[in-house]
Amino acid sequence: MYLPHYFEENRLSELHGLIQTHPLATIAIVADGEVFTAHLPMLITRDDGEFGTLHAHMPRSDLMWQQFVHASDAVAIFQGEQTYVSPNWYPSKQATGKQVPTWNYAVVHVHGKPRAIEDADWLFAHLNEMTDAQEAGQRLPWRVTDAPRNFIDKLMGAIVGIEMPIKRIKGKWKMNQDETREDQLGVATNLRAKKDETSLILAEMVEQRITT
Amino acid sequence: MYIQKHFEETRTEEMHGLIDAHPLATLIVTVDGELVVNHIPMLLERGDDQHGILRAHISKANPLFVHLQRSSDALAIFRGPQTYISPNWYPSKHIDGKQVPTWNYIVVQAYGTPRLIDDSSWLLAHLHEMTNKQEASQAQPWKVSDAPQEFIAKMMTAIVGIEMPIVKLEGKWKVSQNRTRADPLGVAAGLQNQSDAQSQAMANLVMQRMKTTFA
Repeated sequence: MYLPHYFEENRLSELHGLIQTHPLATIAIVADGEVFTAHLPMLITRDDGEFGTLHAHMPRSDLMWQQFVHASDAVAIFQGEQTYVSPNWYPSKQATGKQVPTWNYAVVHVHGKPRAIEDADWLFAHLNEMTDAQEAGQRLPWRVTDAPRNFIDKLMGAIVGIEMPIKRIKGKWKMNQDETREDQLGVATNLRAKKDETSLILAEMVEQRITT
Repeated sequence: MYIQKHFEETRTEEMHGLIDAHPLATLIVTVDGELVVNHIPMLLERGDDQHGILRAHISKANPLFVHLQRSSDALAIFRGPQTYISPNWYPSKHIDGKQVPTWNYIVVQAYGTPRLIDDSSWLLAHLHEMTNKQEASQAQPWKVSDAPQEFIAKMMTAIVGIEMPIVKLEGKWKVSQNRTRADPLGVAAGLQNQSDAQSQAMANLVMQRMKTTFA
């Protein structure tokens, strides 16, 4: 990923945070020159290994998992909020006109070697963990044990676990850090004015990275 | 990408619609067995080609500029709304408990061989087109011609165009259509009860698909 230093986010807590709030990964591997992709929710265990470990599962009928052992590279991509940025939002545009549109976004790229796990106990623990993480926001959190155990066992036979210890992790927070303080503030103000949840999150991310 | 039959979207116009609405592509190429991934807004031209053409521009400082000089196959991924789906929302769960969580999402994967275009008139036309599309919803749409011409000319020397005729399109609409009629209704209601825009968008997708599946 092209990553100018001013867009780089190095703080592991921020990178892990984005993975937790945006768990649907685009996972891509290349094996013998062929690219395989899948879109899977992944769960981060922060304290497992130097940068953490990702856990997930996929249908056994998706043959991608059989290619893990042949993969020369693998990446899990997590995408946070994103928006088009109009030059109208920069005060400097009014003064000099010297502005162009851009796109703001926050992404995390995780590289590591995914491994398929065919172990019922591992899977059961993983499904419980993943469910509890997602259901935490529900009024009456559903639990894996709410379903008949023989039903869960049957479904588990159709999936395979994935473990991907993080070898390399990169974060790109493209939030107008290459603009002046006034222009950054202008972007944040215009995002706040839009009032939707995504724009408010983006405004905050821009404000947190205002150059002093 | 693995696509179960019931999740497959084959209608080009639906896939094109997703690209239009969610233009920030995840563009993947491979270089010597490694994955090179960038996030780039892309503009679709439906054209006469069967699948259409994707156009974009990148900074010449982006290593992708060098990689694409050695022609390479690429994959552009466009993702629409996505949400966690709780089993609590399925009416059938309350009958026999036989439900598990899932994730709903819609995604389009476009394959092709991108070609670099270092031509200032192509670039200028492309920048106009891309800008006008994005600015259409602004109260006072900004136009490329609002900026001093020499400023735009200078900026353009730092970027290069990309053109990728799409040779294959894959669409996966995972929106609860693999269920009995009552369950998608429950999912849509569950999503509508959440406050965020993403859930509302997914609720609409579930309802739309349900109408065609059970029509």
